[in-house]
Amino acid sequence: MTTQTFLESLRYILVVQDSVITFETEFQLLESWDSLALISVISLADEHYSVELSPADILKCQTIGELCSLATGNIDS
Amino acid sequence: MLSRDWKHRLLTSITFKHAVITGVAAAVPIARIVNSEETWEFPAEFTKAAISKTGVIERRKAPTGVCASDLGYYAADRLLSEMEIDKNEVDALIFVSQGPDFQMPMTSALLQARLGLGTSVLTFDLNIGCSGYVHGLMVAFSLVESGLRKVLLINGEVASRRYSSRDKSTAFLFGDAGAATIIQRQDEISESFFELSTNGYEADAIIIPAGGARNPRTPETQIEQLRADGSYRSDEQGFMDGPRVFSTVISAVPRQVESCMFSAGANLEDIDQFIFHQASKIVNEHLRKKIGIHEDKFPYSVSEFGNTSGVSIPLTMVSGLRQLLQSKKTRAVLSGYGVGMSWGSAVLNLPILCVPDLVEV
Repeated sequence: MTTQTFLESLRYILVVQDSVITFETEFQLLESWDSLALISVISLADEHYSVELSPADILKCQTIGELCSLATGNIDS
Repeated sequence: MLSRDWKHRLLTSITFKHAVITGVAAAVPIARIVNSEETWEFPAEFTKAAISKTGVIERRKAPTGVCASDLGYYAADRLLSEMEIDKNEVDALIFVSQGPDFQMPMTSALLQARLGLGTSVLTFDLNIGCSGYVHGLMVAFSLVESGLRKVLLINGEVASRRYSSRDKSTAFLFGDAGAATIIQRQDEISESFFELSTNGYEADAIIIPAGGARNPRTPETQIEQLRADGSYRSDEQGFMDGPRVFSTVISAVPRQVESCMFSAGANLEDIDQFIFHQASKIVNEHLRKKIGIHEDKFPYSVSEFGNTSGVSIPLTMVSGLRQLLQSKKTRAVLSGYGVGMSWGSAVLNLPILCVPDLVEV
């Protein structure tokens, strides 16, 4: 549930269609990944998952799956 | 909303018992920049998203030759005359800005003479940005509490001029404005609480790298160069690491605001207005929701005037709350955050204020 909601939010942030991104996608390679998207992810993690992230934390992630684990505070997902 | 366990309280608030604000004025240039009507060198989709996230519809731009102190002067001149202040009772003038008229002397001396204040007046400049209104107020309150009669606090910034219009992080954001505030003694007790902090480890998150003593001006530092994100910016123009600023602010500011309110014994319901620095819509909405502030108590001026750095709090008071502040006593929380990085918050009891119309020059 949480991870699916996160993916939905990320699709909105990255302005992409449902099929384009999955948990395996390397999000930093996407054309729409920029500083505004980075800010939106920091905001999303804090507002909805009470996880405070630094940009450096996020930029260490390769895939959306890793980002999801970090941003939702769920290390198992 | 944050948990209210107060374990995160870092320091004791600075408290005052007799200093109060009695008047606030602001001045802006007449010339507007309407963000949607400008020609930008960015992709249209980015421009649209950036305008929407920052929330800046338009902002004001000072013409060439107009300095930060000029805008501050117009606000101060209007305030002194509207309040009919005897200039002999102004014991100190503080000018808060990152844009002095000259390398020396201090701009506060020039403002003293221009306003016709006496030569026994204490004046000095404070070089502080977006948190500068709260810092300036704290110093003014200290001086009044220590015996001075009236302190004139002047804020001024011509921020639009210091950033590149081809920089994705800052192009849409900054506007120009000046403000003046009178702080004076009130015999009846009125407690005020301030908390101010700096994290100099993040000093390079918002910086103009060249043009000061550390990296003097050279022909190269004046050239707008292509940066990693596709922006063009010279080293004499402002750089802002937007994500780092965002992440630092949304972590530090809610804690400080809540800590300061705890010192004041104030709950969210006890506060009439939360008047915050107008950083951008995305930053401020995040702070508002995180602290749990109702929209009706959270005025905005960023859509009309952009981010005006240390002037944004008094500008919001004048442009958005004039009727209210002139007609009833208000309990307000102020918070400013940015360059340094630094942040300052205050819980104040505002008496009925003198708030002249916004000055347009």
